Amino acid sequence: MKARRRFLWSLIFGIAGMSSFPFAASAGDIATQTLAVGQVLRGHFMQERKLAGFANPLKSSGSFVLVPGTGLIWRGEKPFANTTVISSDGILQIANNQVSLRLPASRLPGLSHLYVTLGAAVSGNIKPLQQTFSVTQQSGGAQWKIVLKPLHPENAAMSQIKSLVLAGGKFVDSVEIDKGGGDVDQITFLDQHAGNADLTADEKSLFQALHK
Amino acid sequence: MSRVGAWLWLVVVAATAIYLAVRVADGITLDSNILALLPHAERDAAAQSIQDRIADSFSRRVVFLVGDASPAKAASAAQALGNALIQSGTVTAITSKLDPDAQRKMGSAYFPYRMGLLSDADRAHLLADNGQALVSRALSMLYGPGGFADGKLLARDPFLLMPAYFLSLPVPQSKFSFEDGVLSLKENHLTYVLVSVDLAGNPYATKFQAAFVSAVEKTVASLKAQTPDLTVLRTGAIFYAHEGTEAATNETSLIGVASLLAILALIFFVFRGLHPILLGFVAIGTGVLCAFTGTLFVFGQVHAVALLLGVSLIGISVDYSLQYFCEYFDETAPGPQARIKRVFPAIAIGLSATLIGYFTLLLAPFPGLRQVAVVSMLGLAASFLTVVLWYPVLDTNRGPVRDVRILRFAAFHWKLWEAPALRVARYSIVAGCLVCAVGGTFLLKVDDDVRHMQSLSTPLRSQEREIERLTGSSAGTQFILVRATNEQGLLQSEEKLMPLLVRAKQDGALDGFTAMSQFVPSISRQKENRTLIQNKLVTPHLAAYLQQIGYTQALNYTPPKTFLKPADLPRVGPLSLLSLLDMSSQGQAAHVVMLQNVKNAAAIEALAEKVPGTRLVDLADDWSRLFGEYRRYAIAVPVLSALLMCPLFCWRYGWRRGLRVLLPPLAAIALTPPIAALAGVAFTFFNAMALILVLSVGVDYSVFCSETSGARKPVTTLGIALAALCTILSFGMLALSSVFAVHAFGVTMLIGIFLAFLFAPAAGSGAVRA
Repeated sequence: MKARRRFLWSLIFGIAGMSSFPFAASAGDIATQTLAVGQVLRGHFMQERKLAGFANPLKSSGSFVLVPGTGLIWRGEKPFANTTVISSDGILQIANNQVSLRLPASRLPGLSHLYVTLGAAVSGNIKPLQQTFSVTQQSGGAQWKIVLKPLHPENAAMSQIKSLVLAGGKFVDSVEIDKGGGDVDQITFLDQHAGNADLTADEKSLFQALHK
Repeated sequence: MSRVGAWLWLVVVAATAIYLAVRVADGITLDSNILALLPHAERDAAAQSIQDRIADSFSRRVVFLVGDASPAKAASAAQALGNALIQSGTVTAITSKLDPDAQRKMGSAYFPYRMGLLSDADRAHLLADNGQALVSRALSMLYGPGGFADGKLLARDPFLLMPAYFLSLPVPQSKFSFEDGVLSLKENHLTYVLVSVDLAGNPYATKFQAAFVSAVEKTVASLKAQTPDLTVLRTGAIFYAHEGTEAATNETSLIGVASLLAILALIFFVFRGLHPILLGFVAIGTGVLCAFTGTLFVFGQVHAVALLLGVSLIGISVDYSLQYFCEYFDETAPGPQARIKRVFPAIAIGLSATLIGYFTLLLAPFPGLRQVAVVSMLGLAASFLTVVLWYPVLDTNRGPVRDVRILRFAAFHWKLWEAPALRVARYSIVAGCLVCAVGGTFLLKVDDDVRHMQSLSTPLRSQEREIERLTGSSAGTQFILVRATNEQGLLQSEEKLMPLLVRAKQDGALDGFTAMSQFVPSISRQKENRTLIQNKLVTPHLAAYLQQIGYTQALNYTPPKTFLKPADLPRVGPLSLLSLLDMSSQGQAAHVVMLQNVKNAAAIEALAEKVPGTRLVDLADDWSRLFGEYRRYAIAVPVLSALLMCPLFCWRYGWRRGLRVLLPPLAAIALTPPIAALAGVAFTFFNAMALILVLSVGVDYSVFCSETSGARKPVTTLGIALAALCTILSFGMLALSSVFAVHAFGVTMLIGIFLAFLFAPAAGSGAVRA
């Protein structure tokens, strides 16, 4: 049983899906930078997770904050309140105001590799992604769509992912992660806006809590 | 003294030389582990064998950190280093290499037993009847970003307890993370990749050391040629041992050659001829040859320290030659036969007394000291035989030397202890020595700490500190030893220990700990957990939870009838350290709990006492205690030697004079430690051992002075002056040694021999033998 491996890698590729959205900002040129360092991207998400053995997809929705160079805060509001914080320090999950999961980076193989990819992507550099995925652009113009497929699907790290489909205009509007066997995550992003707004004290304390 | 004797001795020496040549051709093992000089404690044989095994596994581990600005270069260099070491055959395993299958193997070993495995936090929640916390976590994992669970996993582990337990397993080297299949850490833009290897051979065997260290040097050099900025840090007992051996070997040749040259120059200066030099060389050479070969024959190998002392024997065995040569200054003994007859009684009694002194070392329960004793006894006896049997044959009829200046100088030494006019000077010297000794008594410090005794090379030490700083872990010598009648008993004891250790860690008494029970709960704990999971999680929450997530498939989470046992776990990945924790041997169940950076040993000792069958063990402290015990024993040895010499002296000189012969060397060994303390030298086991030699050598001087009379007195004092000078020359250089034990030995010898020489004429002063 590869319980642990599945667990770790799917976490990572969940993030990998997330990480891809800031870079593909403008149509035709997915390497254009729109999110400057110091800027914060905020928005809402809707996630639909189809899993084999489940009568209905697991639907959740909430808001997110992406801080290039720092990390991501993912707040689920429905069906129940929970918060996930991801940074180079690791992963922290909070449910019912209790830490339900703390995963330091040292326990998470590949997290810092992911950070290199993510950091590069934020600054408009697609190359790190191209080392891991084949990147196909399916449509251009104001609305674009790219498909990422693992270059080395036989690699254990890639066995969890069949393909990533990203679509958007100014920002990434949707991500579809096909995990094979009928398991598919569909994430739609809404009301996205990039700004220089500082993080709230609450958000800062979440990153702090993870840093500890 | 006949020609027959000379021929017989030649046959023996030739046979010895041939034996040595054969052994050298086979390759000689030179042992350099200072601890090998010591016996194994008999007190608690089981605990001792466990400690030995732990010490052995510690000493076989070598850690490298390969650092570079480019993570890829660091990783490939680390891999190249590991491969090269494996290829050299000096290394059996590279633990830092990630077994790509390790996670899978671990997963399949643990997975069947998941319904009895709870992390401490989960167990606490269930004990507090807070199953909801576990439900919330499962929901966060299901709904959160990057969902990890699929239907198959959920059917078998609905509350996802397995991943939670996995994450609670203690993983060492927490500063490291797995990147691209290697363990690495980042600091100041450098990426360090860990290469941790297990040695295939004995790190204290010189041959193996040389093979391993040269493989390392060669590989590192070629890696640096490719990547000039590469940093390679290393640590491991073998590097220290190798440097120790190198230093000892270099020092052996340096001290040996230097003392030989100094002694030969001295002889040439005093006797104005090459002849005594050649003869002296023959006596010294046969002594060292027989001592070294005999020790090899008896022990199979020679310890580096014993070898050093053996080479230094030159300083002692030359005493007999010098007594003989000084007869050149005696006009009444014109030929070799007459000369040897004159000195024979003195050197025979001297040898007998010295052999008695070294014999007591044979009684000491120290393997290394027995070697020293054998080296000394054989070397002295051989030199003695060479002087007695070969000198009369080899020494061509030379006339007496008539240089009265040297004799007059030597005569003054005797007068110092005899002339009434010099009484004030005499008493001043004695009083001066006493004042120094009394003053030094206040500074006298006893030091048995074994950590001070292995002199550690500074560059290696700083690399070790850097590795400790980077990795945040140190190769501690402290652990808790757990013993019980069986394995389950061990796990249960550890489970009682864990909460206490958790609290101690919070209190800052230590940085961390690793125990088998953290990887495998005891069967009784697993039973408890299964009941907890059933009663506090499954029964109250499962139905509602499944309904909430809309899961409709059949579940299959029923635990098996059996329970997880340590033997079920593969020794791969992070679990490879389990073999370090299990120290059980036949009929003896034992685990160790590894402790990291113990800051408050007393607190740990106290908590271990609360759980039966557990106790804190400190390898270094244990050795230090041993050193202390044997230091006290070593102090008793000179007293015993003196007592054993008494019958010989009383037979030869009678009661009063017999005791008087012992007085100067006894005064020397009593005064030496406090006077050495004035120079800041602590009193250790090795200083105590040197005192035994001071006694033996000092007794020689007393005997020579006692055996002489009248006009021959200056000839005798010239002999002991030269002898003391030679001894000080060779042992004075030992004080310069970087090997702690040899240094301590040398300093004591330096002071002790000088005092023994200074006081020697007092043994024979004014007395005329009947």
